[in-house]
Amino acid sequence: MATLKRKHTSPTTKVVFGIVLIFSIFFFYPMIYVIINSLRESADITRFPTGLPNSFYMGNYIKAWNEMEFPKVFLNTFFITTAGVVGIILTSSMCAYMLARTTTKTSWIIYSIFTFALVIPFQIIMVPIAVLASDFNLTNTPGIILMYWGLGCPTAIFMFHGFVKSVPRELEESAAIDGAGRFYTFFVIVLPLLKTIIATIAVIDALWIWNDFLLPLLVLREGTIQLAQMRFNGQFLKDYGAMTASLTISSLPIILFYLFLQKYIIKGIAAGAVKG
Amino acid sequence: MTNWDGLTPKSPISLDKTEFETNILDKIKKQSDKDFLLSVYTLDENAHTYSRLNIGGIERNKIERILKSVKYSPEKNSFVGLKNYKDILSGKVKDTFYPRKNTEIYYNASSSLPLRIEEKKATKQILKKASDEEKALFLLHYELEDTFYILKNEYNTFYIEEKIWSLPEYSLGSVSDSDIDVYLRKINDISLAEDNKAKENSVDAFLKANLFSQASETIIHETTDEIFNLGTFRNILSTIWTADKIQLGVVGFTFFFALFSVIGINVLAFLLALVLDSDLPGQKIFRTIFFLPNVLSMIIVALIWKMLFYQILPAISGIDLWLSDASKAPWLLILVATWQGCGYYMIVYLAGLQNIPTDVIEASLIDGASGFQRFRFITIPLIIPAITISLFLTIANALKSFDLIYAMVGPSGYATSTVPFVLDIYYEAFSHKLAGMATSKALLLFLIILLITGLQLQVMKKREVEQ
Repeated sequence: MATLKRKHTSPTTKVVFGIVLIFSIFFFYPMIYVIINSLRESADITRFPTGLPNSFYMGNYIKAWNEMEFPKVFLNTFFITTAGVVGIILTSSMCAYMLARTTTKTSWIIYSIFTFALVIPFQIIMVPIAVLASDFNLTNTPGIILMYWGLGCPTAIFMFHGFVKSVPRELEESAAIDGAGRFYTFFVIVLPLLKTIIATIAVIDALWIWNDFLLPLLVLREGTIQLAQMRFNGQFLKDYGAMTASLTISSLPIILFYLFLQKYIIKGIAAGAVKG
Repeated sequence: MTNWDGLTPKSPISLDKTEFETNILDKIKKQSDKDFLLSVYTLDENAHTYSRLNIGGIERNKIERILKSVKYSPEKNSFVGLKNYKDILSGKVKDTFYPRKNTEIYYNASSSLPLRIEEKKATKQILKKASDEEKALFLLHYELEDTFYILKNEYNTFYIEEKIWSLPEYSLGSVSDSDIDVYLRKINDISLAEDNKAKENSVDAFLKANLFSQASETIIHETTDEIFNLGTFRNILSTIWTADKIQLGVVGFTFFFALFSVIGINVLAFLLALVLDSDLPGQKIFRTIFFLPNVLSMIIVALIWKMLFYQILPAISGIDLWLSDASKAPWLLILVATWQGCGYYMIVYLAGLQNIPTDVIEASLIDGASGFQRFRFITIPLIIPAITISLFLTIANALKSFDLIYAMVGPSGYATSTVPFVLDIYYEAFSHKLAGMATSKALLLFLIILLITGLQLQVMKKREVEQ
């Protein structure tokens, strides 16, 4: 193995490192630009777009915070995301568990219907969804959460189904002998064994729901961070200072989320890719 | 399959008074239904209409049921069968939907000749297409100086007309400003019509109406002929100097965007994964940086870049138009999509690379394989599963892209041919209120995605090696 590893100091590594470093600076520049300009006054930005801040000007943040009604939209998005993820995990894990443990034809048909839904992109069914949502009075926060449960469950059921099959049946059988009911067995014995896959699905779905734009646009029209950001863009198009500040505060939560849970996100993607 | 616009409720918000009474109320048999309808529809005598109260879905369904029982169906809800599909496939939808040819005219005969033309442009856009005669004519009027074709002075309308303006009769005031102006314009028009007789007539009329000396008359005759002769050349130039440009339209742009963003994302992601798979110092930080754009929402990404394109790029390059320029906008969108997407697929490729068993690599080292050989015969075949899944996901996602382009260009994208399929569906359904047409388009897109990704999976699965 030792022969495989190149030395850190080899000249090629240094050159490659240099190239990657320069590239990553270019790559990262848009985000640096946003942060720098959020601390400058708009008039200053228009005059010297690439300049540096003279002082820490916080006016942009105050404006963005108030105009976007940030606390309100943040809490609303947070609520939708949490309720959506918890709901998807609860319903899908129970569903997948039953589907994996019963071997009847009906369960196979139900499972096939769920997996078929994986093929249908949301964009194809968005118009009927929007129309149905208004017919059923679902154009509100509980309504959109319900929709996320439905839209998120095919993937989740597919992933849980594969995972549940690898959980040994003996555990459940011995629990049943000890007199445990179906729900007790599932919540106390099976669910803890699914921890890794739950973490993966939770992280992926949380990113998806938090960042989703199209469904809230069709159903809610206002009230999530993404929608507030888009509306802010319409109002303060030329106010670059306020724009950059609003972009910073609306991307901060998700960046923190990513930095803390990076391990799970990357594991989830890698696992999904290797399986697919 | 219907004509229904999807947004007008099937239970009408307001109805004409007579229509409501004769077509609906009189036909209802059950008194309870009649009472229900009258409880939700209130009569406005002045406007001669019944309007509906704001009610929930269950009541609306009840209204629909009642309306159905009396066979009342507004034109908007009629069944149209496969008409929408036929319209899409036979080219009856708005022409921004399809790729189409557009002829761009660089020179309009009614404007005066350009003073200089870049050599490259002239060769490519004019001389290549011109016949020998036309070429000779062009070279007669223009001469090459450095990198420009410059219009010779004797063919410059400004200098020609100057001869008339400097006649002694004008400075003495016996001919008025407007007289000369009108005359010159007339000759200009006649020259483009290439009407010799009209020219003779107007010269005679001009000379008769004003008093000129003998010398001046000859000058007028000469200059008139010069202007007149230019007309032929201007007509020829305006017909030659055009270019057929292909406008991608919605369908074309969707494929164009998908093709290049898929290539961009996968190539960049693969390169990054290869680099990060080695013993590079600080690779964790690099991985974090390259993945970061992927966790941001498309809206935020789009707005960040939109600002860059409107702020930084014009300041650095001195070129003002970026996103509104039809020749640049598609490439800029692809650039942003690549920037946002490559991190995700870098992780996928990294996982694939790290899955390659080390014993295979060791065996190849013992057999004396070079670095390139190892890459070509071990890395590539063993990473094909990762390529398959990445291609599958990128193709499907690129064909479905919406947020990015919605936030970056919006409806103005129709002008620059940067509206993807899904965005077109969105506008069709919610701006033009054609839900039937929108869902038809959506189903077509679904078939396209199925076909392309299915084909891609077929091709790639054949190349995969069992590990």
